[in-house]
Amino acid sequence: MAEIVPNTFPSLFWGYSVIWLILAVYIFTLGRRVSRLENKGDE
Amino acid sequence: MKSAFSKAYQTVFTASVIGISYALYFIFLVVPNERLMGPVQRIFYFHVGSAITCYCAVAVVFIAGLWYLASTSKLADIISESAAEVGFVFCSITLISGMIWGHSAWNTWFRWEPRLVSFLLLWFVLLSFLLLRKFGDQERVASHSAVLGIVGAIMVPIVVFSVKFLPGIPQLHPVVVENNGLKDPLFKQGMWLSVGALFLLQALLISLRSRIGILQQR
Repeated sequence: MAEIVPNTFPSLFWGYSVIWLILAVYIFTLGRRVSRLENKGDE
Repeated sequence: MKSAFSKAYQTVFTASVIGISYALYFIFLVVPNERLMGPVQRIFYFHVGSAITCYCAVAVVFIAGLWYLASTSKLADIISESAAEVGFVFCSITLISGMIWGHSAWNTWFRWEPRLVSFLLLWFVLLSFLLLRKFGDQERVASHSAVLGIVGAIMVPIVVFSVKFLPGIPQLHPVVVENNGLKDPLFKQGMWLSVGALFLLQALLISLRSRIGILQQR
């Protein structure tokens, strides 16, 4: 008899979406701050 | 100097992208479904990976804090602030992904049990560290935050051993680990792959954030 696996895929989707969203926003913010400061230093 | 920094960043960035891609491939295509929880159990790999990465960041805050108090080195202060910020990001990821996982698997977003409460307290310690850096007395903020970082680091062993402090209280975490989790060696391999990949990403983020601190000092 085949085992019934609960369909918890939507939670998996939202879990990983939140992880990548937080990381993407943070990396984007860091990149912008670095380039702004480097440009300021070059002027 | 600038190009040496860029090369180092590019190397660590490439390594972390390859590491995370391989970890994701392994988690979603190699590791089997967990029997009771189904697909949502795959949050476990990045949830635990983020938590361990957060502990490492707090360890850096602790060491950099001691270094600052011993030498008043500006670099130690910058590294301490950078690690606290990155640790806060990974702590938030752990909390939110854990809540989503818990809601699906245990039908609750949060429970007042030692592991969850102590981890929430660690999040508040990191938040207060960052608020102190932002709004504290700028002349003394480095030494104040170094002390807070050193004292706050005590939260990490409390979180790790919290499941053993109050054995009388029914807890969700040890039940999962003992009954269902990590029996298949692929589960463990997936977990350590995620930890390694996130650790590389953390090293990249701390060095990038430290670069901001160094540029601000000029």
